[in-house]
Amino acid sequence: MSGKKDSDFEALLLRQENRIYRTALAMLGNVQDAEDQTQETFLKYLEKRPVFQNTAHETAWMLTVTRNGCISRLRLKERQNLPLEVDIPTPGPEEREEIEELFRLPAEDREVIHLHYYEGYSTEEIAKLTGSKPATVRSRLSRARGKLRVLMEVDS
Amino acid sequence: MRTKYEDWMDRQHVSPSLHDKLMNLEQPTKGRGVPLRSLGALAAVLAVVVGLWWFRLNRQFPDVRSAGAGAALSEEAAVMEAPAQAENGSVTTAGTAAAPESSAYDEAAEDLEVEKPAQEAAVEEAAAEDDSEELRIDYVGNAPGVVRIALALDYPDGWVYDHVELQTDTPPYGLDIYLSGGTAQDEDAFTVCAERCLSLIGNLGVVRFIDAETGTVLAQQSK
Repeated sequence: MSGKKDSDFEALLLRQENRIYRTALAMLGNVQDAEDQTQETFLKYLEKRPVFQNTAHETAWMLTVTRNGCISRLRLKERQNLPLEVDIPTPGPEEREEIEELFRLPAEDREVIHLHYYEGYSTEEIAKLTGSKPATVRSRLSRARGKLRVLMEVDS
Repeated sequence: MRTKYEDWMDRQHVSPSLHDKLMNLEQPTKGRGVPLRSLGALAAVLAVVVGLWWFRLNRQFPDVRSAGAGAALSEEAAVMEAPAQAENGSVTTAGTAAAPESSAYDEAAEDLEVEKPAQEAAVEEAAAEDDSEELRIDYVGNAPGVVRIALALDYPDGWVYDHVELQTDTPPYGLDIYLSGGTAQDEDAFTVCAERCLSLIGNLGVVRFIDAETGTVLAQQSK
């Protein structure tokens, strides 16, 4: 029995670990914090052991737990008056400036950008996932597109 | 065709050391949650047992009284009769006066006994209604009032109040009640809580019950 559980967990890990890590990184802007949150998310999974209807349900659950964990961490830092430490590897100078600009945006905006541009969620799906209104999601995306033209450009 | 953001994010991976840590994660020990649940189950069983014992005692009590051992009820019946007797100028003690008219007093006592639970239920119901009136507020922006209501709701399946978040920017105004400690996600079980909430808060448009740990929406209802 434990062998089957381990293999199920390993399969889940392989499906979701990078997604969870990237989402945490997008929201927290810090490799160490993102790694800590990734562990927290999978620990939560092991604690709750939810039963998923399908992969989409699994992904939504994992992202929601990650999102809530990131928000808690950010609020804790705010309450402790700790600055957001942006510490992400960026290869070129052109990207570096835009990445720094990205992390000057509020975490809620970065979350929406990541879920839309990277995870491919629609504005309605993001609104449902985050508990926001679709109009709010759209305005956040529009603001991001204005500020981050280079990052949001499609590579030719 | 991908954006630069996608290309950049594609290059961010879980490191091998993090992957190893994740692979070796163990299920948290249940010691944290189980004692509370066990205590809750034990308390529930105890409440049922005490309730059954009390119910049985109440049902048995009239039999004990009518056998003559329950002087208290006879005294009560006598006290009820006392004003009439005083008018008549005669004062009798419960013991002696009860003898010739004992069957009538016993009947009255039994009636009293039958009425008592109904009365108590009515009093409790009235108290509950009073409680609702005290809790009722006009605006979801009244945060202390909202918290009082959220604390007063009777949540199913072991869920308990954690905190609330108010959505008061634009209508329909919303209330998110975060709960913890439960496991089941039975939407129907939250219907009573949702309806009470919507009836107690004047301009509330939608209420959601959310698992505080996972963020999962357990139930949602609109006015």
